[in-house]
Amino acid sequence: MSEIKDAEEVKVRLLALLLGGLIWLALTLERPSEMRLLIPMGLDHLPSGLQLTSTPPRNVEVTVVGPRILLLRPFLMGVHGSLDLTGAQPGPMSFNARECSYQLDRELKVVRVAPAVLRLEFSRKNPGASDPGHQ
Amino acid sequence: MTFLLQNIGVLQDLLDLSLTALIIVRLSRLMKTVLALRILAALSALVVGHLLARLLSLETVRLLFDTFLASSVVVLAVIFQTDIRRAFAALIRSRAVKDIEMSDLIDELVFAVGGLSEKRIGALIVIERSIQVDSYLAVGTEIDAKVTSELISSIFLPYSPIHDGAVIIQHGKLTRAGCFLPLTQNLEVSKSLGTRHRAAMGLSELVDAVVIVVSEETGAVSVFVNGKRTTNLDPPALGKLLRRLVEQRWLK
Repeated sequence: MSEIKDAEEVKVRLLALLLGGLIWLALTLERPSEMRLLIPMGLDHLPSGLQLTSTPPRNVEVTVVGPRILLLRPFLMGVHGSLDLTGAQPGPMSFNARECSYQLDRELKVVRVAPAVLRLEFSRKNPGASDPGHQ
Repeated sequence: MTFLLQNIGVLQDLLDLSLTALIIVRLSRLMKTVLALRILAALSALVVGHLLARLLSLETVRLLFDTFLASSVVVLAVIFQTDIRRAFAALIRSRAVKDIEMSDLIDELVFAVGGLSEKRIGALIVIERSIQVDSYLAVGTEIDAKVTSELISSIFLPYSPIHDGAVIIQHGKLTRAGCFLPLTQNLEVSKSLGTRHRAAMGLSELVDAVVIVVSEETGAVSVFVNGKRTTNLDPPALGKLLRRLVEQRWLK
């Protein structure tokens, strides 16, 4: 009877320690921190009739700040960025990398992106060339 | 010194974690083991739920977990008000060295209890020590008289209208009789214990009073202090025990 009681008291102590640790963890993970992420980039909404003639960067290095718990998400679930090309014109164009969409939590703030500017070059598609997707 | 300054954040975290754990361990001791296990497990699950909801940005679920966590303090205080009261009572209990000075009151008590025990007349006598017992008493008749063996014996005689309750001794005077005491909530108490013994144990769990019980069935004399029972006391042993437990200053 006494041994069972002792075992239960040990369980209570362990659970109390676990709860203390969890509360501390919950508070610690809310502290703001900064982290650099290497995010793969994609291009969206390329206007029809235009083609990309330069090589876009495969990844951008994004520095974000926010609660530590939210900074764990990109590691656990992955993240990717996309550059909206709506309004692209033939010729060289520059895009501010901070205006790209990175699918990060609202509470995370992007403070730096490297490269800061994405330089892309577009040209008109040859009007005589058929769309390979329809063949 | 430089090491300390460089690692002040880590040290703060360690101190923070240690103190949090210590406070929770201490608080969990106030509750009964089985209840503490359930409550700690439920609270841990709530905190884990909060962390997962936060990590996965599940805002509504997080709101629910946070609401449960925030209200859990009030809910626990309401559910465990008796345990909390008992814990605070235990905190303020005096740990002073016991005064073994003789007193007439104890002689009168021992004589009365001895007589009642011989005649197998049930009795319940509370001697207040450093914590007031008034807030734990129900009903009762105010008396305010000098403690004498004749008075105590006459109160507990079966035809007395106030025999079926406790006699209260405060500051060396018999202040009340026929009082009902809170029964013990301890589930481990033997089922063979009657209501008089359960009442004695219940009060002694809440305050530091010394409670004397004379069994109506066997005439056995028991003393309850801090929820613990000392039984089968003969008059000399009862006198010795009372002189050890009751200091002169509580009889003034």
